Amino acid sequence: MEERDILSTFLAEELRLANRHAPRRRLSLCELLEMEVPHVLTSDGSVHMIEPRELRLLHELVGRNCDLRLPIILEYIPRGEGLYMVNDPLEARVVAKILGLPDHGAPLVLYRSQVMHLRRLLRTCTTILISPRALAEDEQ
Amino acid sequence: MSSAIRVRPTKIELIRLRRRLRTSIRVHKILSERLIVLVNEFMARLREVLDKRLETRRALSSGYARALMLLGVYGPSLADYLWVAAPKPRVYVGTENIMGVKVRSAVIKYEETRLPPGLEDFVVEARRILEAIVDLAKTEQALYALGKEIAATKRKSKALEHIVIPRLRNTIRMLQMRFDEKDREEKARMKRIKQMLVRRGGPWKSETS
Repeated sequence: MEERDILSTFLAEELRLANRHAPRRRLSLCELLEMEVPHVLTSDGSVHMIEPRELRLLHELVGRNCDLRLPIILEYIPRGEGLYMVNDPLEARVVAKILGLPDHGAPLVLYRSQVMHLRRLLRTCTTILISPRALAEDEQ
Repeated sequence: MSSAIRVRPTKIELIRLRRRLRTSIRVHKILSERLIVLVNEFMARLREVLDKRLETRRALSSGYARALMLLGVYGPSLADYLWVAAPKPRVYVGTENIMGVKVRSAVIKYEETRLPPGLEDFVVEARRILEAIVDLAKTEQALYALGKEIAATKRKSKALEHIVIPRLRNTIRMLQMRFDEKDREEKARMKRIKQMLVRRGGPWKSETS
């Protein structure tokens, strides 16, 4: 195989695997609170367990809200320098509340330091994904 | 280290290389961001490990002190009694995904049972010890997994930054220079042909005069 073929395969594979930890189906906070062992399935087929401690924290913050889907997706935008976005209005409200930010609705743009702080509090209830639009641009 | 890739000097190849360079830069950016996130997770886990080690030691020393005291009161049959009467914990072991890194995770569940008041406190303390140990194991395992992933991601990111991207840039520059040179040669050739035609008195004469 020539060098350029190996390179193309590597780059395509890296982009394909960038979001392998994305949840296959997100579950509501109610559903997760009712589960004996709260978990979601990821797109690569593995099980992502969610800490009951974090669910209790969210439960205290938003009550038994069945519209809140977990894990909360933080979309990384490769164009900016360490910029992340929360697109869902309810998720944006919850994240703003946790970080003590003013609630301006969705999309909520976060900086890297804020994301790190959020991850410290909600490690298993949040997931970082690379923007699918950015990946699609690369595949073109 | 970086040199040019051997490719056919065609315009199609140049377009392909430019596209590959764009993708490489994007992948490099994604990997760099992933690396930053992973390192941050690693540092957070490192602090967590230190805290949890202290917490486990504290819980263990206090648990042992209480166990010794109970042993003095109830005698050596205490262990047998607790083995039968104390609620058996169930530990569910699964995985947790941190930016594509699979780490072990566990959730402990207990059955509710009634025990004599003095023993109930001890069982609560024993649960705390068990939870602290499982938490510590989870965090340490995550630390190892993250460390390995950081090393792999760093290697890929550095390879892209120092080898692949400069090599692609060099090749593109080389091809571009070659095409520019070809263009210049072509232009010079056309000029010479034009001059020759003018000198011979061809159709160019009327246009130039």
